[in-house]
Amino acid sequence: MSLSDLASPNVVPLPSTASASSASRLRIPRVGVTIAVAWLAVLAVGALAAAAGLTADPLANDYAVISQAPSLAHPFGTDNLGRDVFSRSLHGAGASAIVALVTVTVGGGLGILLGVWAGLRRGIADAITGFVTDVTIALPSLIIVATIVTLAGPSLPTIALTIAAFAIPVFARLGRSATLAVATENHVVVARTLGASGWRILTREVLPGVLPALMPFVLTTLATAIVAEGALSFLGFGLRPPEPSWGGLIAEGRTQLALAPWVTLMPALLLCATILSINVLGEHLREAKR
Amino acid sequence: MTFAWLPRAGRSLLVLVVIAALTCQLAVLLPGDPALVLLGQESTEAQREALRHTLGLDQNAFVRFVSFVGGVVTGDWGTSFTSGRPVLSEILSRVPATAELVILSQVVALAISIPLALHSARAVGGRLDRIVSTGTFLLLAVPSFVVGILMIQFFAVQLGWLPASGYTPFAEDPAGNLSRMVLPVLTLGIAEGAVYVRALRGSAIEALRAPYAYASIVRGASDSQLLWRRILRPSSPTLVALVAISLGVSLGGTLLVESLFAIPGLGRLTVSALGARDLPVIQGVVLFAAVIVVVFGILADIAVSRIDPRSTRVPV
Amino acid sequence: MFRRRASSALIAATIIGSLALTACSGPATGATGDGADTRTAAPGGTLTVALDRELPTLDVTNGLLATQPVLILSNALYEPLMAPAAGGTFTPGLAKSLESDETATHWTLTLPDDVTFSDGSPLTTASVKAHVERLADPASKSSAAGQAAQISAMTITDDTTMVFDLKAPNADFTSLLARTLGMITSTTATDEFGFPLGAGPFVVKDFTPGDSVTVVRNDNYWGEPATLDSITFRMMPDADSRFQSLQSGDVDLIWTEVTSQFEQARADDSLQVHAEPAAVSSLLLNLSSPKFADVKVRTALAQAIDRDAVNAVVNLGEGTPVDSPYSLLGDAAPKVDYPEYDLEAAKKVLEGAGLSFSITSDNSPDSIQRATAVKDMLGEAGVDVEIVPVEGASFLSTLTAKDFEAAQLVTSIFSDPSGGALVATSTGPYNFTGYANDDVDQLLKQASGLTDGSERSALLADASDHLATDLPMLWLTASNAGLIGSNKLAGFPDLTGLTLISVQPSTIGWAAE
Repeated sequence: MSLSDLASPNVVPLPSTASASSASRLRIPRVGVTIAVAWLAVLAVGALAAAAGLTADPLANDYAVISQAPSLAHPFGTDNLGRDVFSRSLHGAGASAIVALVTVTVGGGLGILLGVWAGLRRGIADAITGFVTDVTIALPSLIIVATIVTLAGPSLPTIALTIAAFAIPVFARLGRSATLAVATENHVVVARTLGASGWRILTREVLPGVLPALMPFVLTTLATAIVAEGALSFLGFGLRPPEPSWGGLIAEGRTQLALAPWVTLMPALLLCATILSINVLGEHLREAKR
Repeated sequence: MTFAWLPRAGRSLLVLVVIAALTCQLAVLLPGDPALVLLGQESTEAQREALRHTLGLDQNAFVRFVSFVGGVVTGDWGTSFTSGRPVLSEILSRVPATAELVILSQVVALAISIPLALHSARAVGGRLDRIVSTGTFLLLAVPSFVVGILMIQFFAVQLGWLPASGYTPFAEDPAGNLSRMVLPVLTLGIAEGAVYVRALRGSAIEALRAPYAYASIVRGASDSQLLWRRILRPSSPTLVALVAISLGVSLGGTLLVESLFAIPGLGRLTVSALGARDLPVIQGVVLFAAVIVVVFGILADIAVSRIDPRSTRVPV
Repeated sequence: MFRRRASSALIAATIIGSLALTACSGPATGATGDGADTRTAAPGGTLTVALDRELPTLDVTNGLLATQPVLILSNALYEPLMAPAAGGTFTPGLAKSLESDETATHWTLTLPDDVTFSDGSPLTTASVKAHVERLADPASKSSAAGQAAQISAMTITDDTTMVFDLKAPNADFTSLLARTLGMITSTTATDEFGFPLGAGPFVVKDFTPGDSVTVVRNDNYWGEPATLDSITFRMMPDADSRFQSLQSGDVDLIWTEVTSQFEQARADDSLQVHAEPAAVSSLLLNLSSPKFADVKVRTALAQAIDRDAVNAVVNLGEGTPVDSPYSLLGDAAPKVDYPEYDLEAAKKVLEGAGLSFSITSDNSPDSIQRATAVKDMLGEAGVDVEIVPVEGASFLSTLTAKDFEAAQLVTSIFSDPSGGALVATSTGPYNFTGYANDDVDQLLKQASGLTDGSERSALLADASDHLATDLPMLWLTASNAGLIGSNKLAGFPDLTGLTLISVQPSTIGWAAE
């Protein structure tokens, strides 16, 4: 199974996007793009500040302020152990960002390489890649993730790499078809005829064509990975408390939804706003390509 | 063309064999001794040893693989460690709940998305189109577990309109079954619907540009005649492929919604089997889910080539 | 265009905001007690109970049926020979009596004359013997196989009298007969679902594995018939789903160990709490690790943990601090000289010593919260702690393999005096710390052969003092566990002083108007 069903069913890569005309897309106004970029930048700064220890300790219990509503001292309130939800949410943002970036670089990188290899070599390479992809897609992701997490422990690297692994087959498929499209273009054919080395063709002619074509999907994957991490944590297969992650925070706060709704709603709002911003950028990128 | 899927079926079979071989390794990989889980901490080592032998846990992975595949072929998927019932009937007893949830949510998703997508494609940039596009865009940003939590809190706990969770078989109590299905079906269906609207709207806009669409308009066809008779079919391959993939994936278990709403489906069977180290059930569920994904992949191909004979591949 | 989108976002925010507001305005506070119920239950009616785990089978051999949260169902179907009473003692349940000789090695069981299985066939001592023999066979996959193996011989005197000979003295043999071993099932007759018949006040009417069980009144019941016509048990592992279903009226009674739910339920007039401290948590130190070799370090660690604060914050006061394996046993609980909370004394030993270790814990939210609180307190004293959550099924194997530095154990084995020997004797099945002290072994061995209460208490107190000095395990708290139900339910058994929350549902019913 692919990455998207970990996040199921929200973020499914849309196959139609490649062929749909510009008129069919939601036109994103400039100011929307600006706000999305600004939001992600603010979040990144916040997450870095939190990681640098500039906010309250996300794990420190302050038993004097248990389950307090948002205030100046605690902008997002506190949870039932008196921990600062704002700081925990920002640390959660860090975890989500790491998962998303690892997924795109490792999963996307390997997947695209596999796809390009299959697309250029065809034959055996194509068959192997295709088969491995078929197997991965038919495996139920949950059991695999649960097994890996049980084996290796629910640490951030484990979770990030597992989610990245599920992104490989999709990237391989897209990489392969993008390569096939590029490989028939004149400049590649000419380079081949001129006897350029395989490496040169790959780096000079193919990748520059393939990578931009996949950019919108890279952004979709960022969003998918964040939701997948959230869903896994929510189910208890992701980062475990007390380490903050968005899905974990939302799940943890659920016991107190009636008493202290901010513990769940604040990280949920951050999560939704972030996904929305990434989607806005992806949409903008697709538009700009035309 | 009709038999174009045959080589693919052969390849799929190979995929399933590889997956069966992989799941037999789970017994070796998963930490935690099933005999200890079953017999408890106060059991003696001799008792655990005897049980491991009875359960066949002392055989090597290859022997287990051969007997597992042999069993699957003859319809014997093994016996659950915990319940003592055949694995296949264990799995099949969970299918109705998952299937009802998945199929109803697909129906809801399609019932919402097809009219919205077609009509907003008819007037791109119009009022309806802008509302629909913005709405689906926002919906796509809300993960289903957040939707689920909020719906339970709001509709079940605060307003008390609907049950918070649980499942009653339809045959026993149709009204109870449906009222319990509303929230989980909406949680799944709304999210799927948002995806479908965007997919179908794109294809419909393309189809509306085709000469036959103009011809139809010129002949004076009404909007709904035009959209439903002339546009829906040519613009549906992508949607059909999406629905088939989504069905294949979620019929193997929709754990998130099942655990939020306490629905006894395949997802929950999987998790409890994992917790109890019920290896035969885990193997069975993995294989069952893989079979469904593979079968729906093939069905998607067939359906798409029926709708649009020019295409031989699913555009994924 | 953007304005439209912005306004949609605003609407979404408003909806979420108003939801938050309505969520805050809970009902007014009103006290509800756990005490005995004076209202009477009207006969008839049905009850819906939410359990916290999924049962794949209703065969008593499955260990899940002996777990505390499921006892309300097991008791309904397979009424055990013994039932828990206050302070970790046991009184006859289905049995008429269970008496030991002076050595606690030979136990004489008497049954009432008229006991029958639910098909009307007689339940005799021969049935008891066959039942125990079935459990002793590992092929039955019974979680009580180890307990059954403690019995060396069973001698039947007549249909209602038999003698159990034990391999070793065990004064707490009664406790074993309150769970699987005492839940007598027929070895010859099964119900329509294939489960061996029991002799409880209810029989199975409907069973969907992993989802629900419906039981109806057993018309062949030998004792006082059950008040309710039927009970439906729903299996809902998600604690929040259970509580929300209770709030929305889908279910009438839920099992819970989530402290914040007790707190919410006590503030809600329509709900009633039936809970007692029953789950004891402690911090096991792996003595084979050089980090814990020095008893001074272990003492300082004990001094660094404020058990009262753990109870106040993690348990929200729904529980009690613990200082020995016998703390729950009411009057029999020993006075132990366990290290008091003394941060300054702890700092003297620990601060600057650079001690760092990991705490392995099961991954339930409450356990993790407690571990987090302990981590915090140890951090104050200069110890660096990392929490390693381990999933349920591999948790005990991890401990058995001694694959941990420190571990949090949350258990109900301390609900009777036998629990101490399980963790503290050198061969105890729950001795994960590697603790071996000949004096303790002797004391506890002697104690398990004593049926006299006060003499025995003295020995247990001695052993507890050894544990409090040697500190192979640091005691934390006992947190509340139990049921929350609609306040319209009457006839609920009084749980005060019980250490094992084992409810026989036959007396429960809807309060008469």
